[in-house]
Amino acid sequence: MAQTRHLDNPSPVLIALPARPPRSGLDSPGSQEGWSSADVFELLRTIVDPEHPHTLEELGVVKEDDIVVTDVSSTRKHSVNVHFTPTVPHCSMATLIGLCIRVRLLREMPSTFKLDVAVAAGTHASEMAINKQLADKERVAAALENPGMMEMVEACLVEPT
Amino acid sequence: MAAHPTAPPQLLATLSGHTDRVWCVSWSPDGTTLASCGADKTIRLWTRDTAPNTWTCKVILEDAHERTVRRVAWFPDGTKLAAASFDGTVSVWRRTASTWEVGAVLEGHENEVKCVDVDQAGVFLATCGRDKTVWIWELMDVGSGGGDAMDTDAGADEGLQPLEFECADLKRGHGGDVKSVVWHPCQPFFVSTSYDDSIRVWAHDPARDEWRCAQELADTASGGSAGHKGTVWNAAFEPMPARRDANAECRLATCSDDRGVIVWSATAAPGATADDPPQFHVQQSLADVHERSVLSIDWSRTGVFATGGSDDAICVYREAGLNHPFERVARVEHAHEGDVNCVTFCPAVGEDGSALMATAGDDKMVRLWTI
Repeated sequence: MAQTRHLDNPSPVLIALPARPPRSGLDSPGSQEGWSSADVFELLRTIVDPEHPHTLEELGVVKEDDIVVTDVSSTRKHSVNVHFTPTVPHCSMATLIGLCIRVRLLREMPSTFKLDVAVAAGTHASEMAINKQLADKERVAAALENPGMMEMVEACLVEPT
Repeated sequence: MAAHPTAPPQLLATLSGHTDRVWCVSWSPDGTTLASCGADKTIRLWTRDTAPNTWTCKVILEDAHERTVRRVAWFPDGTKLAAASFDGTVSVWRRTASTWEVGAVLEGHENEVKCVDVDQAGVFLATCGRDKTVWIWELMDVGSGGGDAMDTDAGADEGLQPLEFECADLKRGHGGDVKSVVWHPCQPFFVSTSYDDSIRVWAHDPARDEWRCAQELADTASGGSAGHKGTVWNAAFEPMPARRDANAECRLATCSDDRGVIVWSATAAPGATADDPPQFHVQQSLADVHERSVLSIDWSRTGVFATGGSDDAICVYREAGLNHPFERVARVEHAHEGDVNCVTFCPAVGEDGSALMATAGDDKMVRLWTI
């Protein structure tokens, strides 16, 4: 049965992407130890928006400046803090986007990293509620065992060809 | 009283076997067996070997749940175990002559069941979950035995009757996931802790044979009562001496996403009947005891209590003396290579007055400590 689905943001603004050298991966000289915000941004920028055929980078949802990485072996402090910006303040996909970011980080980063994913301050009408859900490890763990939810997440995590 | 109030917990053993995050550890009432469960959907039973500080997994209980086993709890007789799962069910395992088998599966929660706890008589189970409800289940008498064959596979091998549970009550009230349920060690009430940042006290009303919310412990800025300011993950009652006066002080410790711990104390209200639970008030707030969420708390018969958190640390607290406040007397950094999801004390106290504690981690490990 055909249905009309109303997009939260029918015409998102796209960001002109900078010219990039081909991806060199994360094993470039000098970076074998120590993660940077650029490394984390590289992991996240290709995630596809649940609603639009564009990446989170193109939509300006994730920005390198909104990623803070602490990676100090001597003190064993390893953390990643990502703030993302939904394209519109009432975006119903914000929790799903946050989950996609978290799943990508869980899969690609060493398990010693503490991950904090939240919508940027003032960018969503339900900021507190969304951030509380994304910070709840038990709810995230249960979501990752939910086949319906994971189908939506995997669709966003497909590497662009 | 212990002679070394600030001695940090000593690591005794690391038990490996789980293939994914370990969510919960629980001691059998006699302290001889430790049950653990987690994201690998199994329950493992560990017992002490003859070699010192060596523990072996002798039994793996599996194939009862399709998703994470979030919590496991023993019945007081040590022959039954209840397990709460993200698959929405609670399984009750029973020890038979040769093995363990599922004696009952409790279905009712709409989705993830997050906690199960058994009352001190072994008659009532409390369960809670993401559907914001708390259920109270009653174990029906199974003493008669030998009746008509039940139409079920459970117990077929050993010729045992399936265990029969009835839903005694279903309570709504919390505004979010209910994270844990914890029975009082000897009185007929329990507490629930929630994503809505509050704790509720649930008591049996014998006149109506139902359960009622006797008190809500929430952060009401206007009312002057200070509670938690984030998800309340867990609670633990102070263990009661055997012949304690029912009117004596009752204490509860709770831990939260707000990185703090609150110790609540309660006395019976004037004119209260034996069925009325005491009224709790904040005795002490311990702020910022962990650097991230405080996920689990337990109170030892030796007088200390401990917490585990998502900062990978465990902390131990003790009162400097009677009527002195609790102080954090020890903190173990990197107690696990990941979040510490559960801390639990062995009910059997060592001959030297030491406490044995088990912890469960995101690093798939179970660890044992002495304090």
